[in-house]
Amino acid sequence: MLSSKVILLIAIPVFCALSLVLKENFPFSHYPMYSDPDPISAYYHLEDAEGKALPLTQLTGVRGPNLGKILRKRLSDQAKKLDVGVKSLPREAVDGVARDTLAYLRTQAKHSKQVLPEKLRIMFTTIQFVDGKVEEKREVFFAE
Amino acid sequence: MKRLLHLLWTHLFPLPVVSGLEGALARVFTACIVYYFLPIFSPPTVQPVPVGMAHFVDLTWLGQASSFEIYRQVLIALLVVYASGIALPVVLPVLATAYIALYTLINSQGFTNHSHHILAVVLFSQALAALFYLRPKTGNWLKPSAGLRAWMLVAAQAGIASAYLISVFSKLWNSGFTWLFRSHYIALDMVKTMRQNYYSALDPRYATEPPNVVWMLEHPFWTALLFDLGFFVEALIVLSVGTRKLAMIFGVGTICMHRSINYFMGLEFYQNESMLAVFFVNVPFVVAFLLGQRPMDRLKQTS
Repeated sequence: MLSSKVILLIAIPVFCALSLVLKENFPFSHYPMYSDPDPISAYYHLEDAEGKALPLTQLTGVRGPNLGKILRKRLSDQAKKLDVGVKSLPREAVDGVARDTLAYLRTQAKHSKQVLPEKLRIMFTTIQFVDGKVEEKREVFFAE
Repeated sequence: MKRLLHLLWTHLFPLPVVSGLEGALARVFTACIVYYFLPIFSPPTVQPVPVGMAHFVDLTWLGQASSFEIYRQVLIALLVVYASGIALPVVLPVLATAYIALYTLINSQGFTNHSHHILAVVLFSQALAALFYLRPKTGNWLKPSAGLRAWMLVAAQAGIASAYLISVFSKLWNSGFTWLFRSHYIALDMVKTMRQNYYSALDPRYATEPPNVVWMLEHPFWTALLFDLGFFVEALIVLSVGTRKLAMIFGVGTICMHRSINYFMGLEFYQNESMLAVFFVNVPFVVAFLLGQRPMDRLKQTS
């Protein structure tokens, strides 16, 4: 019979290795959150055409951090499909991803019995520490 | 050095004695926690970016309100049987699979919600331990044997510790092994998380700067030291698997780490904290101990 020591010395590395290889395949995960601290941080949020911020979770059930996760995952998949880096994706490919994401959010809003405004904007904000201040720069990532 | 390694090897991964009462309390607490965090509303009826078993099985039927309600009741019934300790070698694998299926659909929406991973990992690890006891004459059909009780505790601890260890490997790998020296930039992620929380519901509680963020960015050395402490807790918790006192120390340390992240970033880790309280801080053991069940010895070092 194997001792608990030997079993765990095999099981723990196997589980860790599997998780690192399989990445985000529930119940496995490689837990990539905050794993690459950078001098620039960024996030996305949703606005209507007039620039009024929208409460994403209340309208779609999707939490704020997940909008960025959805966009990053779709952009990365698109980049793999086109065999380019995410930063080299052509504008039309990025717009396509944004359009698909908004379509998904509308489906989720319907599921939550909510209605999103006819025209939406996805905003992209970068955060940096400059001259002793936290500086945020906002730009339109995609507008319908 | 040789002596240190010998000492480490001698004390690594013991199989503790788990009394019947402690085992029962651990199952009841786990079942209650899993039940508490079960979704009330049906998940989405689509799986646009399938993950895990959704690659092979269409799980969208779980999102239909009528089937979800029945599924939820079945899950609750399985949790009750799990808590009772009856037929664990069969009930646990079924419960783990059913639970994983539900959250696989939830995580097949193009983004990952990591809140429920730890509960799935605990059920999955315990199910593997229980499957080992799926043999006739092991005496685990009406109530779990001493061996199964011990392995359910150790398997849960190993699953939880592995999750933290994986996070350590990802930090090292994704940062090109520079995480420890750049961890102070997480202060910027604290701002990001506050903003994301704000835009979730336009909640004015999150419309401010996280506490001390400017100080943190002005003092990178001390900030990195603070975050690196958490890194080492995550990396070393695995050494406490199977122990009592060390597990309690690491359990409390890891809960403190989650609480401090909650304070600075507004991120919640209730599932992680509750699993740490049950399996590392050993709340069921403490309660059983106070009620007079004091099994301090280790099980014989065989499975």
